Amino acid sequence: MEIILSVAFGLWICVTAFAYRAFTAGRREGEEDR
Amino acid sequence: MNIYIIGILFSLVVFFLVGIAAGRQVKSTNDYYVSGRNAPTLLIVGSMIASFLSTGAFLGDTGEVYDGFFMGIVIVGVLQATGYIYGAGLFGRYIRRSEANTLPEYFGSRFQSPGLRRLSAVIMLVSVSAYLLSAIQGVSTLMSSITSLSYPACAVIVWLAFTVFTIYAGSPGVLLTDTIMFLVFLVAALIAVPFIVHAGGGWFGGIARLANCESMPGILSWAGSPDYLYPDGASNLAWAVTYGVVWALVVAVSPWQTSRYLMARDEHVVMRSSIWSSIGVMTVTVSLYFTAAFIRNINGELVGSQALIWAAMNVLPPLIGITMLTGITAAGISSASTFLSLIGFSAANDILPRKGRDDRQQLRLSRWAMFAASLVILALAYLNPPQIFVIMYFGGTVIASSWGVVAIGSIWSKKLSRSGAYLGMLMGFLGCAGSKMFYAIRGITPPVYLDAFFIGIAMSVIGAVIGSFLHPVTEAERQCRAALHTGSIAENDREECRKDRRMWLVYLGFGLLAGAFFLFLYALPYTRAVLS
Repeated sequence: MEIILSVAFGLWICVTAFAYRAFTAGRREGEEDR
Repeated sequence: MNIYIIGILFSLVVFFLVGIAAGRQVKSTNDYYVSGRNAPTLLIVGSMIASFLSTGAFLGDTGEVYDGFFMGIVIVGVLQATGYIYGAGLFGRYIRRSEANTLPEYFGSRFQSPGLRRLSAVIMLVSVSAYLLSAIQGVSTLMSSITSLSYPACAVIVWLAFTVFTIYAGSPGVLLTDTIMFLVFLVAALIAVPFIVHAGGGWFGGIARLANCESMPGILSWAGSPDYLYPDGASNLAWAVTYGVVWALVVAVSPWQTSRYLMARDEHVVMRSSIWSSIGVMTVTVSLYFTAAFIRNINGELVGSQALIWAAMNVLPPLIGITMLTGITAAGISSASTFLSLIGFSAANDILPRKGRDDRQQLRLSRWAMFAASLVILALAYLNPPQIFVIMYFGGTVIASSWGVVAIGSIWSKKLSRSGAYLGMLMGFLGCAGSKMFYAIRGITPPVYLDAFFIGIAMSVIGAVIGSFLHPVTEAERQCRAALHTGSIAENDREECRKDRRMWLVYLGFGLLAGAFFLFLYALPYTRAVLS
């Protein structure tokens, strides 16, 4: 279980990195072209 | 007077002088409230982390780890730190666009409601005062425990240390001193690790000893010590994940975090700050948690909340020990200065009627309001009445319960109206604070799903739905929301946007490193030691 949780920590941070990417991508397409 | 208190007092004088020097640039309420809205990434990151991490993290959380709840606290630590990213993307960058001076001002203008502005200011005042009190108590307790000074005398010294420069310098002073204090406790947390680990049997030897720890069985296991919170691992895990999400919401919407975004130079700073703040908080907290666990290898007879103080004075070399105790003090003082500034700004800007004051008069009123609030807090900290614990029920997660739904809804909901926002905020506050008091008076430990936070959030949603149904969104409110989704001209800088976007790779790399760290330096050595 400790191994699963350790991997889960890394995965969750990586998922959050993708969320950040989506936030910043949305800004460019939604607003720069306005 | 020992070398530790000399080190702490010296640092307090430095923070004081830096804060006063920063105050010389304050010329208007814009400077005072939001530091001229010109702060770079470093100051925003420093202030966000310094405001978030207080003596609670250094003494409270490490105490819980020492007492056998390592994995539970680590899970909360990792999840809460990711709240910075979601907070900036879903809320922070939009409030920066609003150009408000305070969060209550943002709520008031977004929903065209002076009533909501006052309500959110009052909730913030109550909640932040509780936190301010606990920060003063934490630092004062630390000081009195390492000197012969009495607790009330320490409370006055601590109060003086942050009150004067916060009142005089406002946000510029808070931002600068917060950043310096953050660097002090970052260094303290990082340099203490090798000494404590070495004294605790080396990294792998220490992990093996903790895996079979007799004074606290199960301290490093995923389930935690069965005597700490719940007797079974599944309940402890559920608690940790739930509280991690709750604290991620606190990070995402609480005024002592998101108000920093109002001071950012632009939205690029907001987005980049979220990455570095998340990495910074995770690095500091995880370092502290491992340190606390290793202290158990050195001395298993300590009171949890005293573990780090004991290690600083008995295990670390004097200079490193002084840095650690100064770092803990800095963590408390930096949070206190932010809390006090929030109280003063909101009292003058959002609660007291404006009555045609010019900018200079408003600035003076803000300083007096802050001074008055600080006196009340000092009286409470000094007298330390037995009933003081009641105030603490308004701290914690109350702000996320009452503000969370309305904050996120103010950006993303087309249906949330002025009445919905008001009712949602009010019911969220009453639901969370009321059930906290009820549980405490009756001595009830509720199951995770009936935690006061969830009752508050559920009531907030109900309030928002009922209010919005009774009085739907007006055209003016619709336009206010639409304006937030329109970027300003200054933001339309392709190169800067590309730089923001590239930061996701930094965070991705950090995630891979964090996963590898936990796997190869904690989980595998721990599992091997348990099986051998």
